This record gives sequence, C-alpha cells and structure tokens, in this order.
Amino acid sequence: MNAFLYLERELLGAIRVRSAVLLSFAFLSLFLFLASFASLFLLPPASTLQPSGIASNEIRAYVSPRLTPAAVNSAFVRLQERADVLSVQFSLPEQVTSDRTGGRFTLLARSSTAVAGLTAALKAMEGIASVEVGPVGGVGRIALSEGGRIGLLCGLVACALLALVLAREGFRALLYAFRHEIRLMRQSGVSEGRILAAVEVAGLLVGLLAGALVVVGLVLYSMAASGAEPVLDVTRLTGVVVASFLLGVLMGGLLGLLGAAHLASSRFSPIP
Amino acid sequence: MIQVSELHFSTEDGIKVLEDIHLHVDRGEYVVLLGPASAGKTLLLGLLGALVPPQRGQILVHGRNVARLGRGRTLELRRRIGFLPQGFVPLPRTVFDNLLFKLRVLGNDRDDAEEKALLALETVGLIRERATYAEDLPPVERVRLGLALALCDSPLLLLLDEPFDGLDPDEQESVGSLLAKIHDRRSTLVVATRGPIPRSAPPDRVFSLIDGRVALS
Repeated sequence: MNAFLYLERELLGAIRVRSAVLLSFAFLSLFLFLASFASLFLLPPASTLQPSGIASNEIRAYVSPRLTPAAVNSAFVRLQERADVLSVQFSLPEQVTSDRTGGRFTLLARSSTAVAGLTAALKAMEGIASVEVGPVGGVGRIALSEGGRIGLLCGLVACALLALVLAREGFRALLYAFRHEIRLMRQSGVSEGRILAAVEVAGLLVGLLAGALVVVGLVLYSMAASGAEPVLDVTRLTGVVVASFLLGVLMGGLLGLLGAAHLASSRFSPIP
Repeated sequence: MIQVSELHFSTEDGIKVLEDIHLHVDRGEYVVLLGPASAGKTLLLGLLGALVPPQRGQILVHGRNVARLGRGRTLELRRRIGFLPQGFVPLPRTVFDNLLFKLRVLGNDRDDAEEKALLALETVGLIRERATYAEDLPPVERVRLGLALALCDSPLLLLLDEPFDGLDPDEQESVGSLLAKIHDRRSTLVVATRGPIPRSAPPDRVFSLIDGRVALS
C-alpha cells in the first residue's frame, strides 16, 4: 500500500459517530438530489400525454359497431396471446365516452420498441375502426405535471444545498478527529497537496457511491416497470444514467473541496 | 548546521517578537535556548524548522537558506528535521502505530517503517510499551514518544520545544539522560526551555532569549 492509500485509509478510519451521521445524511441528500435529477429527465411531462389521457406505451383500438360479440371475443384472445402485449382490456360501447360506439381494446405494449409493430398489427386486424397510440418511452403511466416539475426542481436544489451543508459539517468533525495527525504531517514535511487530496478523495467517494446507487436504482426501476424487459427508451436511459453518475462525481468533488477548505483553520497549524 | 543572522520577526499587529537574532549552532552540538514564557522560543524553533516563513534576516540550516527555499525544498528540509512541539499530544493510537503513521505517510514501506519504529522505540526506552495506547502513557513517557517521533526518520537536526514541561525533577533528569544519550550519537540538538536545565544533560552552550534578543549565557 503506498503512502497516499495508507493516508486515505487512516483518514477514513478516523470517522466517528458524529462525522459518520453527518456524512451519511450528506450521502442521502446527494442520492436524493441525483434521483430527482434523473426523474426530471426520465418522467414525461403530463402535457405530452394525449388529451384523451393515453399513457406511455398504451394503444387504444376502437372496434367497429358491426363486429359481432364472438368476433370481439376472438380478437381479444388473439391479442392476449401476443408476446408483445403486456395487458389488454375491452371496454363496452357504453363505457367509451367518445362518439365511436363499437367498444374499445386498451392495450399496454410490453416495451416501447413493441409499440410500432403492435399498432401495425391492430390496424391490419379486421373490424378495427381506428387506433390511437400513447407517447412512446417514459416510465409506465407516471408523468410529471407542471407543478410536480417545479416541486421536483425545488427539491433538487434543496437536496443539493443540504448535501453541501451536511458534508461541510461532516468533514469538519472528521478533520477535527484527525487534527493531531494533520499537525504531525505538516511538522514532518508531508505536502499540503497530499493532505488536501486525501480529503478530496473522501468527498469523491461519497459522490461516487451516491452516483452508483442512483445508476443501480434506475436500472432496477426500468426492469421492474415492465417485468423482465426495460420499458424505458434505452438511449434516453443511458444518457440519464451517465449524466447522473457524472453529476454525482462532480458533486462529490465539490463536497471534498468544501471539506478540504477546513484545512486552512489554525487548529491544524504545525506550531500549536 | 544552523546559522542565523539579523533575524527579525513581528506579529501582524506590529509587535516585535524577535529582534536582530544572531545564532550559530555547529553539527553535533547540543544547544539550549533558555527564556521565560512568550519570549519567542517556539517561534524561533518554528523558523529554524522551516515551519514558519521568515520575514527579515537570514536562516541557514544545513547550508540552505530557509527564506529562499521553494515549496518542495522546504518540505524536504522539514523531513530532515525532527520536531517535538510544546505540550506534545500523541496520536490516538498505540505507541507503535504513532511512529508507523509518521513513517508511512512520509513514504516508507511497511517493513522499513516497522524497522525504524522499533529502533526509535528502543532508543527512547519505550519498546515494552509499543502496544500501549499512547493516550494512556504517563507524561514522561509521552515525552519519550514525542522524542521517538522526532528522531525515527534519521533527522539531521532535532528541535525540541519544552521537553521538560510538566515533569517532576526526577522525570526531567530521566528525559535529560535520554537527550544526553541522543547527543552522544552526534545528533544536533536545539532545546527550548523555561528551565531549569537537568543536570543529567549539560548542554554545550546555553543561549538566553529575553525580550526577543538572544545572548550567550
């Protein structure tokens, strides 16, 4: 183990109850900040939903009034058996509020990539009068209203500020516990850069862990949203995952710098 | 080893702490700076140890002008100087780990660090206490640990600030004997103290530091 890794291990080993609690809450705030950031980019705005309220990956197929109940039943079974269909429902004509009076199939595609094929298949089916498609991509049926988006933005800013304040106090407590070691290092000729880098790396670790946790959370959520297959647009998801992780690292670096700023305090002076 | 000339130092408020200091210490010499509290002894040791940047005057340590050293050279010089601060507080770990910490952060690998640490503990007579938690040591053994930390990486010069502070006369004599033993190995020692100087460690020369000025006693 080289001198820097040794120093890093010793610094992290100086974490006591107070600094552990503060840094854990800083980590949690940072995680919430990154999760809010990812949600802002992944959840579609409510305005992108069609006026009829069709959700993401949802397809509505209006049935001709001339279709017999047996034919409707047969079509229902055929749709239900398709691999690209997650769920299918039939609404009776009197349950459908539009002027089309033949009833309606409401389907949820298994993934965003399956929507186009399923729509084409529905249009080709006999007795289907028209087809409406919801927005492709997005997380299931969750959408963000304008108010929700503003709330999320405020939460994002609050979490970022909270993470900075908590990390600053956490590092203050940690460096206080490590003050004799810092004094000894300064007396012995260890460079300021090395001491500062050790604190900076500790901050980066907080950011890296928060970023990694958000990445894992996003992947698990995309899997859970539609069973075994991801429901999110892969390109968009990848972009948000990478951006969240990099933002986590950047914020971690900022937390580390805030911590390292304490080193200028006279309590770490080599001469008491 | 040390050549100080026309050294002046003032606080930010303009109070003169050191005035026209001239000092010369030869290699292998044991010198005591004797002076009352707040006479500037700690500051002078800080200046000699390149821990405080000088304002006016010249300080040559081991042939290097401290005022003109770059950052890297200053750190290099500090590594060659063993420093025992006043009221030394050990690190909250075992005696052995105190030494290991200093040696490891200075770049020694584990084996070298362990070897040097054991040698230093043997020199100061703390080898049997190596596994003791340093904060549990009595005051005299804390001073011994501070000395072990100062000399563990083979320094050219030892600067010791009030090593007899807070010790009873017997303990002062015991630390004095240790200093004499270290001096016998041709180490250069500069000790700052309010006094008295233990009889077991008669220095080569004693300088008095009063009102910011140095005089040979």
